[in-house]
Amino acid sequence: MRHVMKCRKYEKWISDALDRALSERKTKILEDHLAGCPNCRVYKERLSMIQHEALRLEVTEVPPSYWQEFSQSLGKKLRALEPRKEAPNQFRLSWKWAWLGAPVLLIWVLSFIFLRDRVQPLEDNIFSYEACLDRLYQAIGDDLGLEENFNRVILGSLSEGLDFATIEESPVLSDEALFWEDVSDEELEFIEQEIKKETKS
Amino acid sequence: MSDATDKKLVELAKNGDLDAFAELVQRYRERIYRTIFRFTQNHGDTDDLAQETFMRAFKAIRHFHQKSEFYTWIFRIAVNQSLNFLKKKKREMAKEEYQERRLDKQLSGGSSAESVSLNKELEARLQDAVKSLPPSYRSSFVLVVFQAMTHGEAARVLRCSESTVSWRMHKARKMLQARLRPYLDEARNEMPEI
Repeated sequence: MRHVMKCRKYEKWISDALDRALSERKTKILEDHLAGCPNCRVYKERLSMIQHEALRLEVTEVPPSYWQEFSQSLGKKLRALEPRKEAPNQFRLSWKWAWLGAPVLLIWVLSFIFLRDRVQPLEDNIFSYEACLDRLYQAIGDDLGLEENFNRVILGSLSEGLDFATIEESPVLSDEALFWEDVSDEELEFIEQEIKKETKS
Repeated sequence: MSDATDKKLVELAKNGDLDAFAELVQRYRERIYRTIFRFTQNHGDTDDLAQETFMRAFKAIRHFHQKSEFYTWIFRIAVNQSLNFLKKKKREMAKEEYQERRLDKQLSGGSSAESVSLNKELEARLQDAVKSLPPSYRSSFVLVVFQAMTHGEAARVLRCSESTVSWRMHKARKMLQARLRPYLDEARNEMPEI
């Protein structure tokens, strides 16, 4: 049994020796073993024969003209590849940076989802007149003093902003001759009645 | 161009220099062809696969960082292509039918069965036996025996360790000798001393 185990090791060494992959020390040990082991000698002979025959297996030589055709044919195919050669690079470049864009996009989407119901549109929130008044009324609440102050300040600022001289100078609509042209009889009657009511009161 | 190193030619080819790549093709086309032929055993398929090997190399050369030698890389492509080809071929044809046809073809090389010499028969049987090796053993055998690569070189091509190549060679040889033993013993007396 021990002999068989030993021979298995040497069979591997014989294979390595055929490939010139056995160290000098092991080669010497192998030679000593082969001298006293007929089974391993036969095994080595068989392997050497396989090696010898394998190297004799022909690869039919190809004529030199074949290589010319080979290179020409290959050259054509490679030249056909050339215009497309940059495309993969560009693609790779864009994908190389895509991973940077991905978190930004993710943050944007999450922000949109979480804040969409909380944040009013900008125009409503900041610029809308009604929204401003609502917020002011909310702030004032039941505080009468604050309301009084608010009215005073707002009305004061409004009166400062208005240019009464300009208002007085602006033409009255009814003074325009063309204003009365398109007014129907019914409308005229309605206006007349309204004027009468006003003058009575 | 012809005196430039592989490394320099690869750098030029990376920038789309076709002449540089053509020089690399010229350097390795015969060795690549022979290697592929050991797998396919016919010139038509070998021609297609050799061209495909260089095409793939050209397409991928921009991503080749020269951590290994160019020849290691191109051999790797060639061996992978050949193994894929065999897989595909095997699927197309039932294994037994495939092997029978091969053997018939090889044995019918002479004019009659009688004229086939013992060595010729051994050669045919050996070719058949090499083909029947598992792909990983066959790849190692082709590179080490037919391409005379060292275990280290074959290991780099096959992306495995040297000891793996060593074991595969050992196992491949054991399989071959088990299969060819009757022919080997018969031919042993006729062979010159090796």
